[in-house]
Amino acid sequence: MSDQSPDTLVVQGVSKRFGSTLAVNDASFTVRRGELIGIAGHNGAGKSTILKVVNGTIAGDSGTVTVNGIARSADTTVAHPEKLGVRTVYQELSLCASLRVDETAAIFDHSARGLSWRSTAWHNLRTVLDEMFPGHGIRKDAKISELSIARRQMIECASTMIDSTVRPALVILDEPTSSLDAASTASFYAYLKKRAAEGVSVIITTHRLHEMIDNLSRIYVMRDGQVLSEQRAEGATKESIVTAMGLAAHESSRVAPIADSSTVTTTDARPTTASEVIVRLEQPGDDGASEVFEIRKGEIIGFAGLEGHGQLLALEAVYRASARRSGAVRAPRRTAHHAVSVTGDSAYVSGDRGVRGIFPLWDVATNISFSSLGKLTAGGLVKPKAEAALVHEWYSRLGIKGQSTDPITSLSGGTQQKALMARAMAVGSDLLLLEDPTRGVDQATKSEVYELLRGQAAEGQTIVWYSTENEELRNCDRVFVFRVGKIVATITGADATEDAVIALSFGGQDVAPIDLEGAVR
Amino acid sequence: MTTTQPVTEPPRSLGQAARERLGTAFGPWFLPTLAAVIIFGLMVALRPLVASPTGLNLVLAPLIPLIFAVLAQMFIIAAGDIDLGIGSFIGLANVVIAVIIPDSPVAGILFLIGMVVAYAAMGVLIAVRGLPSIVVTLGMSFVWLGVAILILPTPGGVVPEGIVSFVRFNPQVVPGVIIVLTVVTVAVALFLSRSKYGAVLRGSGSNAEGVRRAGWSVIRAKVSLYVLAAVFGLLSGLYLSGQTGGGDPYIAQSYVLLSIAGVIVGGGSFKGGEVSAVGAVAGALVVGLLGSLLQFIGVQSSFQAAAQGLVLVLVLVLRALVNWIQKVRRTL
Repeated sequence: MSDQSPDTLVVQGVSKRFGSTLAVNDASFTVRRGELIGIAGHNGAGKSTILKVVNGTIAGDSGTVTVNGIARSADTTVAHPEKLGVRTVYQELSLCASLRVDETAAIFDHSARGLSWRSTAWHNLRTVLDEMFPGHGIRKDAKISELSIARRQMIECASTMIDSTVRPALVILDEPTSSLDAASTASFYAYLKKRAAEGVSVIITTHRLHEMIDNLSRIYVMRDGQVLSEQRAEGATKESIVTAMGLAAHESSRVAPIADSSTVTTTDARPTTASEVIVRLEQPGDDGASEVFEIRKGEIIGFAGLEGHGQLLALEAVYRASARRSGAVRAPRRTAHHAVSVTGDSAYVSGDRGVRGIFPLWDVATNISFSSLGKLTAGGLVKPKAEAALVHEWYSRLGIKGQSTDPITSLSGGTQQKALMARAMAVGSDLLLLEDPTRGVDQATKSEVYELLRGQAAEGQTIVWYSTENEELRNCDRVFVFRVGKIVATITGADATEDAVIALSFGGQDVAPIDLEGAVR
Repeated sequence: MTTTQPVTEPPRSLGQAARERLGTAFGPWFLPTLAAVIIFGLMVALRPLVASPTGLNLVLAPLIPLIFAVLAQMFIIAAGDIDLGIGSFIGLANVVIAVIIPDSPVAGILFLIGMVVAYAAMGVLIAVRGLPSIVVTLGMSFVWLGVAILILPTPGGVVPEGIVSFVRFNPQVVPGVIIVLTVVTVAVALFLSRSKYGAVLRGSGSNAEGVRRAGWSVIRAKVSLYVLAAVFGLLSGLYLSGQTGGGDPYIAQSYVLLSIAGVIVGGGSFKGGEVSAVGAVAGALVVGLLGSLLQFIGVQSSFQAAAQGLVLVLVLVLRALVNWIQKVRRTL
């Protein structure tokens, strides 16, 4: 079936209009057999839309899509793209929380039939998983609802590569690595390259531009629905892509000196201010004595390390240890590795906005003001004017476009995330806890978020920030690097380069990831 | 920029492995089954005759229609929906069996098939138009009840002898109720938990979009679940008819809430997809046996409903506790 054409996918002149906005404007591109290509562009550039037209989920208005030499008009939808060998991982995950891992595998794997359908499907999935994510630690009888986002993402990615009744020919991955740590990401791309050599073509969108440059062969840049330019990955730089995306000079204003791992000056960075201690983490040291890590008022602290090494657990412990009122103290909270005590109250922002963040049925205004309603009431009733003022203030501070009465789901993913940040910040708590807040958010929005966080810190809010993107840790004052549940190093934000953080998280002998977060949700 | 390190599966301690096995052993069906066994044990302790073949029949036979109703409700809850019409539906089936089938069996059977088709249509409506099931099924419950009253304004009719003897079938060796209970539970559990389409059905209730993307028809899945619910509703009506021998449109009104309680006590969740057949049957037994047990203990009938409710809440609290303990153990 795969010999007749050197191109797996040819997209010609596809346009798609949603109401008054032209989401995709006369887009054309080609993916050759066995090629890994990327589509770059900020949120709302039309990446997801064009990919949905390609796999036939939504109908375009004009143009043609040719898959494996079979052309179809773009204004038709395809009920079963998997029968054409087209597989897709969407940005919002699509696993069934109530099923076991092997049952999930079987739902994707139409070749798993008969009495042993579960073991067949698990065998097929596991073959891919073991190679794509060595040491993934996923058991076949675990329920999806018990797995971390990263593990669910691994299952979705792996399920696109199984040889079902129809072998994969074109695999579309929309932000596949957004929750994966650096090591998993590397093995993931190594696997993709291997499969590409066997003739599988892959389209990837990601906001991690360096991943595209390092691993793909070509990158198409989209802006305002148009495919603007095509760059060969060898010659491309982050700057060249960002420029093409039309986001010039949106980069972080705080340029850290480029350091490689050998130039980390100290792995025991002291607090940057002498202000009061807000968070105190205590862990047993190697020599039996306890080590104490203090986070002071107005600091931005990053929690880094490989996925699943205790950062999230520590962040949740900080949240649970924090008091209800500003300035108050509660009894310390113990985890398997730390004793955590916190002075003051806290607010928590999760990167998993669909599940843990937004109220999808409400408008933007209520989503923002919800956490602050307590201080906006008189006699138990909400004061509409005060609420409107609060919403207005955060609208302008965050630069959210549109009406505050729009439903929150009408906003793009990145903007929803900004609204969530606004909700947490509007409370004015002593401590702001962020769980990978920029997951799947474009570069421009990220820069705005960093700016905002620095502003909050300057006003005296303490920020603890868990991130899977080592690059953004440079915006922190200090970074705590976790390994096997414990803090193994504290470095300054300026030292926190990708290489330095990876070197520290891999340091020592023990590189086996342990399942700390996997069970939490 | 990144380093790839060969990472091996972390070494597991014995305790960890044991915990995992424990975790899977405590499926959602475990607690309701335990509760049913405890309640039954208490009843036997109070009245040893309950354990005799005749006693078993007397205690369990009235629960068979409820068990079918709970299983019907379970399929709807698996779809992420709620069926408020199941009571009237069973009542209509009862009336059809008691009034139409004696006169004209063919017309009666066609009528019953029509009821199943109506449920399938309801599933299509809910899946395609995205209507809330709670409204659709509540509306339809008045239709079922209205038709039943049109056919039989006051309780009456005579259920054919064949159906009565089929339902009251009770061989000497093993009590009939035990046979029915076992066959039904095993069949439904195998289909729902061990067949591939069963997994698709459960998956469609928890993330319909995901199942659709994997290449399955979500509408077909919804219709399958509604048809299964209708079939089990008819079975419930059949057993009720055989046991009472007559027709009554209002006979199963209490099943609406009892069936929901049975599914939830049985480890199901309104989130959709989270159901267990063994749990649902055990939940039905808990809900049904509780009344008898309270009578045995001598709880005044005026307090019985309240006591029943309190025990159900207790079971749910225990379940939340077990979930919490499991989560804490896995976190370590």
